[in-house]
Amino acid sequence: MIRPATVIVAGALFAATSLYAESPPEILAQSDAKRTIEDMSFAVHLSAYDGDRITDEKTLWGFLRIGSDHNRVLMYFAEPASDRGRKLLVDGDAVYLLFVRTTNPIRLSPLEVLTGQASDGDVIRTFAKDYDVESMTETALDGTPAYLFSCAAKGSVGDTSYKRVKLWVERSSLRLRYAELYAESGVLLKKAHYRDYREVLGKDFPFTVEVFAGDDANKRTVMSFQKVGRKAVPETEFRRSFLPSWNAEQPQ
Amino acid sequence: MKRARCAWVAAALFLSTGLSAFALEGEVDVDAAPSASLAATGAPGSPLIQAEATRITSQFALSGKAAPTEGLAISATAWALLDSLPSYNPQDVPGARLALSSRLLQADLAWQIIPGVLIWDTGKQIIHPSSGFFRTPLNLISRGAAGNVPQQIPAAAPQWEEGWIGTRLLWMVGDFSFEDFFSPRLVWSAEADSALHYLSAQQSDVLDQLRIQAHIGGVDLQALGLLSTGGPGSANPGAHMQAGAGVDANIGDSLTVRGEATLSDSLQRLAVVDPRLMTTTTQSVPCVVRALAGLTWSITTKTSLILEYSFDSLGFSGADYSNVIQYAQNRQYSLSAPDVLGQFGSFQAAQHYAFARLAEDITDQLTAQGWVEVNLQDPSAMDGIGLTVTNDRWALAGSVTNTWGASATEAGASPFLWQLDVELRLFF
Repeated sequence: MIRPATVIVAGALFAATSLYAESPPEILAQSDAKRTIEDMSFAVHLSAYDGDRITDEKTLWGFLRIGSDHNRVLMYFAEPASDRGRKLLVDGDAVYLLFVRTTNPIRLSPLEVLTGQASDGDVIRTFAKDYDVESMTETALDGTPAYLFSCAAKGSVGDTSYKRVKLWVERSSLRLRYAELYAESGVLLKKAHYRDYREVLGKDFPFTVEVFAGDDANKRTVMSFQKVGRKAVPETEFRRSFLPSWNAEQPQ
Repeated sequence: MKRARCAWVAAALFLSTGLSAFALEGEVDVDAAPSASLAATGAPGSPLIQAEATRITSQFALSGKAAPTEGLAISATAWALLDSLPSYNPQDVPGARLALSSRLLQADLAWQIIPGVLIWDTGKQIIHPSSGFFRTPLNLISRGAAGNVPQQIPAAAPQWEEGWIGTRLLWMVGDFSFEDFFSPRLVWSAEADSALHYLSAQQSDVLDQLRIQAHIGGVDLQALGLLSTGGPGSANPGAHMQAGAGVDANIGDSLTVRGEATLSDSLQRLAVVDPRLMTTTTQSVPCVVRALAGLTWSITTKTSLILEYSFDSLGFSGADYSNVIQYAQNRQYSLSAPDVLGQFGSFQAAQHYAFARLAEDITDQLTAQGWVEVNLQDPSAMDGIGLTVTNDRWALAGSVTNTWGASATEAGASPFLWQLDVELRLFF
C-alpha cells in the first residue's frame, strides 16, 4: 500500500525534476508564450520623456500576427494629427513605412525609431525564436527570484536589431521583468522594464513597457497599451503590397 | 405624399449617417518663397541683374475615408491652391496675381473581394512604385507636383499630386503580388475644361501598367511594364512600351539599399539646333534608360544619410550638352525662347547626377537637414539646408537653396540664384 505522504513527496520531486528538466530555451519560450496573444489587436500610446518633460506623444493602432518564421505587426498612426495616416509594417526585420498620400511603402532600417527610444520592433517583441540562449543563471531582481538569460541573435536571423540581449524573467510567474539590449559591439543600446501585468484573453500581458536609452536615465519612452483584443487578420495583409490598401480601424 | 416624406426622411438619415461615418482630415500649407534670379536689362551683351520675387502659395486639402461594410472602403482628397505667382517667373508677373486652382487629387472605392488576397480599386489613384528619393525612375505615370508648388525637401515624389482615373486589380498569393492598373483616355472640349479643370486634368493616353512584386529571402523585388497609347484620332496614336525593375533590401541593421531601372521604347525631348540662333527641335530618343542606385544609412537612431546616383539617357551629353549650356546662357537675354535646360525640371538636363542628404533629429520635434545634388558632367551643384519644427497640429519649416558652378555649367547657365522658403503647415 502506498502512503499519501509518499505520493506527495514523489509528486513534489517529479514537479521539481520536470522544472529542471526544461531547458533554458524552453523556459524562455514559455515566458514568451505566457505574454504573447495570438492575432492581437491593440492601441498603444507612446510618450517620450526628457527628464520629467514629455517631448513627444503618439498613439498607434495595430495588429500582431505570430508567424512560424517571425512576428508581423501592422501599425497605424492615429495621433498626433501631424502623423495621422502613416502606416507601418514590421515583417520580421523588414520595416516599411507608408507616408500619407503615397502608395509605395519605403523600406526602413530596423534601428530607425518610432519616437524617443522606442523602435518599431519594441512595441511587441518576443525573444525565444530569434535568439540562442547562451546561459541561464538564477539571480534576484528587486529581491524577487529571477532567471537571467544571456542570449545572442541566431545566425539565421539576418538583421536582428539587437545582437545580444540579457533578460530577467521572474521565476515564479515567468514574467519578463527587465531586458538589456546590446549592439554587436557590446554597447548597451536600450534598457526596458516590463510592468503592469494584467490577465487578458488568457495571457499575462505587460500593459506598460518603459524603454531607456542606454544608461541615460533621463531619456525614456513609455509605451502604455490602452486596448488589447483579438482579431484574426489574413497573413497576406502583413505584406508590403497590401499596406496602401489596409483600411486601419480602431481596435475594439 | 406620406410615402414621399418617409423617403426624404430615410434619405436624410442615410446621408447624415454616411457623413458622420466619413472621417475627415484636413491640412493647410502656407508657403512663402523669396527667390533671386538673373535677368537681362536690355539687349544681348548688356549686364544681367539680380531680380527678386516672392511666391506665396496657400494650399488646402481635405481628405475623407469611410468603411461602410467590412472589406469596402471609400476615400477621397480634394485640394485647392491660391498662388500669388502662378507662372513662377519673376520676369513675367501675370495679370491675375492670385490664381486659384483646385483638383480632386484622389477618390477611390476599394473592395476586398477576397480579404487580403484579391482587391479591386476604382476611381482616381496615385501610382508610385518607385523607392527612389531624389529621382523616381519607376514612377512611370506621375503628374508631378500639383500646381507646380515648390517643395521644402528635395524629394522627387511631390507632397500633393493628382492621381489617374482608372481601375486596379491586386492579387496577392504567398510572397508574390500581381497588380494591374488600367486608365482610359479622358479628353474633353476646351469649353468643358474651363469648368472641369477645377476638378480634374485630362488624360491624353490610355494606360495599362502591370506590376509584379516579390519578397524573397528578405529582399523586395518588383518588375513592371507600362503600355500607353493615345489611340485613334489622338496626336500620338502609336503604342509605347516601358518596362522596369527594382530591388530593395536591408544590409545589417542600419543600412537599406535600393536600385531600379526602366527602359522606354522612345521618349521625346526638346534639343538645341543652333545655340547662337536660338533654334530648337523636338527629338524622339529611342531606348531611353533611366536608373537609380542608392542607400539610406541610419548612422544613429537620430541621424540618417541618403546617398543616390541617377542616370537618365534622355538627358544630354557630349556636344549636345555643350549646346544646351550655351543656349541656356544666351536664353538669359531672351526668356521667351523655349526652356531646354529646365524642360525636365530643375537640375535634370544632364545624364549623370549624384545626391546626398544628411538629416538629424535634434529633438523629437526639431529636425535639421542638409542636402546637395551634383551634376557630375559639369560639375555644378545645387544645395540646401533646412530646419523643421513639428508639433501635434502644426509644422514650421524653413530652408535655403543655393547653386554653385562656373558660368558654363548647368548651375551657371540657369538664371536661378537662390531661394528661401518658409512653410507653415496646419493639421486638423
